[in-house]
Amino acid sequence: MQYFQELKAHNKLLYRSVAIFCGFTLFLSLLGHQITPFFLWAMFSENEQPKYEQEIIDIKINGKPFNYTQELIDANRHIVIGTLHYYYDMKTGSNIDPNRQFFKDKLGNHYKTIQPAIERLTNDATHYKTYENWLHRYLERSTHQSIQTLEIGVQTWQYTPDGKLNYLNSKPLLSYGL
Amino acid sequence: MDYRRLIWGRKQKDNIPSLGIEQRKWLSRLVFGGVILSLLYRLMAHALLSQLAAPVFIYPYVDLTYWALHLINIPQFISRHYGLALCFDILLFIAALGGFFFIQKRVFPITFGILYLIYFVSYNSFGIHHTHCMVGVLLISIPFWFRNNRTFTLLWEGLRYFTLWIYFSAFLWKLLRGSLFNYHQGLANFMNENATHIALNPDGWLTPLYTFFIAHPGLSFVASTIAILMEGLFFIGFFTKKYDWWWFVLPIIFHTMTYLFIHVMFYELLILNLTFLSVKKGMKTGGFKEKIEG
Repeated sequence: MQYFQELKAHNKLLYRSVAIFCGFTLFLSLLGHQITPFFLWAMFSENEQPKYEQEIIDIKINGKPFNYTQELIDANRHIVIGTLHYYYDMKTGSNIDPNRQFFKDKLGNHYKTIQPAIERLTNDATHYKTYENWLHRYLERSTHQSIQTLEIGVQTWQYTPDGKLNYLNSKPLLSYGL
Repeated sequence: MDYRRLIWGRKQKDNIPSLGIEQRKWLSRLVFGGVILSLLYRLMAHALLSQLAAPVFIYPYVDLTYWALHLINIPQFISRHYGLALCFDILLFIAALGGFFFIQKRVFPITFGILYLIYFVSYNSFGIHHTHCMVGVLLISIPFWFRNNRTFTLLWEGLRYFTLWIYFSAFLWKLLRGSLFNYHQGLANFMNENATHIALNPDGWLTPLYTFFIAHPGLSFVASTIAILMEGLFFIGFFTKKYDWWWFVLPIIFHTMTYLFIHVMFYELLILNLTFLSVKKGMKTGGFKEKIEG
């Protein structure tokens, strides 16, 4: 409170701006919604139950396994793996952006009103098709090597009671140059 | 000797003493030094806009700021034109370097703040995840946008409260959603976040640690509870500055734990730790241009 009093005494506009920032942050936190710069800090707060079967992305470059946990740094691994998961979600959802589906479900009949905007804010079949070329290009730059073939799959592994993982199966996700 | 004058540069009647110009200079060097390190890390990781090779997917999700920038096509337009993206990255570095070397010039922090917002939105959208690790770098230049030292001081103080809020609200979410009391929370986090690492590095030096915690759910629960309670401790910081040194150290321990245990890399957020630093020592008054130029 002392802080706000001093802000008010110093500059009313500054006081109002900071108060609005705090108010919006609290209000949106209560709604569970985030609009930059009113951030929610809710990571890892959802109640989780152990999942004994885990899916992981498997990458082979020029026929050799690519260990992206070691070969990529967090900031670009985030880009590669994040987009691959999204590509996977699109592929399993008949090439439809899960976000577009989310808005359709959420907005119901009102969806049509903002459909043009939503279509500009989500991905479509064109993006989906060009993704493979982009991934190839980005991995070439990130790994500093020429990539002739790229094979990506989703592997399923299962945890054992002693915390180890057993390989179960794999399904192809994407291939380039094969 | 008037110690208050020595410490704060001028006599104070306010409860929050204004920082002197030397302290501002010192903080500017620390802040933009940290910013430059963060940008170098991103350069090394091929994560700057010109290095992203014109990404295809976007993910504005339900964030209206992302919507606005994407609807006017800014992230897509910059990233699809290599020359423009390169100029953008160079400008980002120049703004950060300007903030470090020319602290009298407010044009550098202001330019940096605007450019970094575009980078922040673009990177998070192209990466299909709105990560929070860059929030510190996004917000920390704001106090330096203002000429008046009192405004600077109050905004810097505001950032200190914001940093406390980050950790304390993270604690509140876990408390109110009940995950603090969920016996399986730690185990689930260990299993979900480490599966890729264990599968790809069965002989890795950290793998035995992960398998140990997964095989001992009780210890996973204890580790998870300790981490959550550490976040809760930040509540004290709203009432006293006596323990600010702890709030400086605790996030380093916390983010090292989360990085080692669940691969969550949040070191860039540590730039906000600077708001807990005492800038009393080694400060000189005078000898520095008092006026901050526009």
